[in-house]
Amino acid sequence: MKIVSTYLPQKYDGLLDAARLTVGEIIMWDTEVMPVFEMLDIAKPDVVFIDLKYITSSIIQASKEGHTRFILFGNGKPTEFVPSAIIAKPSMSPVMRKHIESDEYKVLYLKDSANVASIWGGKHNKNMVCDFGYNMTNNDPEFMPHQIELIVKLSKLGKIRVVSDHHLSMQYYAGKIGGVDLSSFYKSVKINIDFDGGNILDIAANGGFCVSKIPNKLFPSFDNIVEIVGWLGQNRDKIARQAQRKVLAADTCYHRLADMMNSIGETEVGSKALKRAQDLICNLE
Amino acid sequence: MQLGIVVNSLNISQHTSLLIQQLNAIKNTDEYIDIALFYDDYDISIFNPHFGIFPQKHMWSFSGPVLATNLKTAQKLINCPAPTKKFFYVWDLEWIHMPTNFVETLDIYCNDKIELIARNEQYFSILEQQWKKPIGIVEDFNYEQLITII
Repeated sequence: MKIVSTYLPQKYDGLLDAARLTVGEIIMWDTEVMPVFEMLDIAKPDVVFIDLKYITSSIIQASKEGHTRFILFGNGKPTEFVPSAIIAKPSMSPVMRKHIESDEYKVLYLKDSANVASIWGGKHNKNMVCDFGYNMTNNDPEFMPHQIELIVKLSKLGKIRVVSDHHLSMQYYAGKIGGVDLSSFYKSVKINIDFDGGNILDIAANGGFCVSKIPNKLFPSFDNIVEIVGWLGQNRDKIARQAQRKVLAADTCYHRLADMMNSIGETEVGSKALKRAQDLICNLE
Repeated sequence: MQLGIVVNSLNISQHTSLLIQQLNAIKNTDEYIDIALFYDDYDISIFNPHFGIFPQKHMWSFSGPVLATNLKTAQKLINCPAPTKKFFYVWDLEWIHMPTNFVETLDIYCNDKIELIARNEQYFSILEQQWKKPIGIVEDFNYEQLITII
């Protein structure tokens, strides 16, 4: 199967990696460099992943004419464009859902999944070991003061490192991190802190332990600092192992890829993706 | 006794001026201390150095203790075979105000081959908290503290 993809939002990096590892090469398509019909003639893709912002009148025309199926990533549907499936956010309101749902195509409200880190699998690094670790991904100005207040309090009780995928100007910030290094970080830190639920799946998939401000089914939650620090003296391995198994069994980007491909009838690719997800669990044993 | 210091540039800055002043003070105190300042970019200093200045490539064969002064020079120093002792004088908390990669920074500050020296007490506690406990404090290249610690 041949897949072509436009640039997608960063949260779908894991999905693209999963697709790459499942079906082989994915051709990245820059819509400004190559017009759609030229791309279709040269690459002859079976499926095109396309972000809503790249839809143009010629792409709408191409979607009607050829055999190539388009999977649209976005929370809306341009008039006259008929994709094979739309990938929308699960938090979309019922009113908005009514606007995009149709009998002509499937709409998948794709749940969050563990991202790239679960595929690459980092290793425990003795230099990365510290009491508390936080991958700061939410820079919402209203959200920041609460995070920083807690970080400063925790720094008085143990060694804390804050990392991010972009530069931050703050004392406990330790540098930019991503991919396999982030996987190693989650694994090596004694207690990963999560404020908004955004890192829970990645931490679990990598075998790390986490306490989250958001109540969840994988890890303990916290309301105050005592509930975080209390975990330093306890055995966290069992919780981490259970969480890792749960995520690898149902919430990896392979599972989301399988959902997506099954929805357009590509069940063979869906099965291959699920097989790769199972391999992740087998590799743990 | 030998002492090597490695800097990126000899350009006019507070960093270079203070360093040359303090190294001159060491030389004035004990003329038998063999000081070498290794640079990457040459520039004329406002102070006349009373010691040798050499391109950085000579650091590779310098068989005495060597002090790096920033992340870039520390990374080079870690890989140098000849220096007997390796120190990283943390003049600036570079990772906080410059985009740095966490793992590359970690590999320098927490490297077993290099000892950290803090510029002041505040830096000492930040370095201890974030990376590794420094072996001591040397305020603004203070030559007496520097000689004691090395």
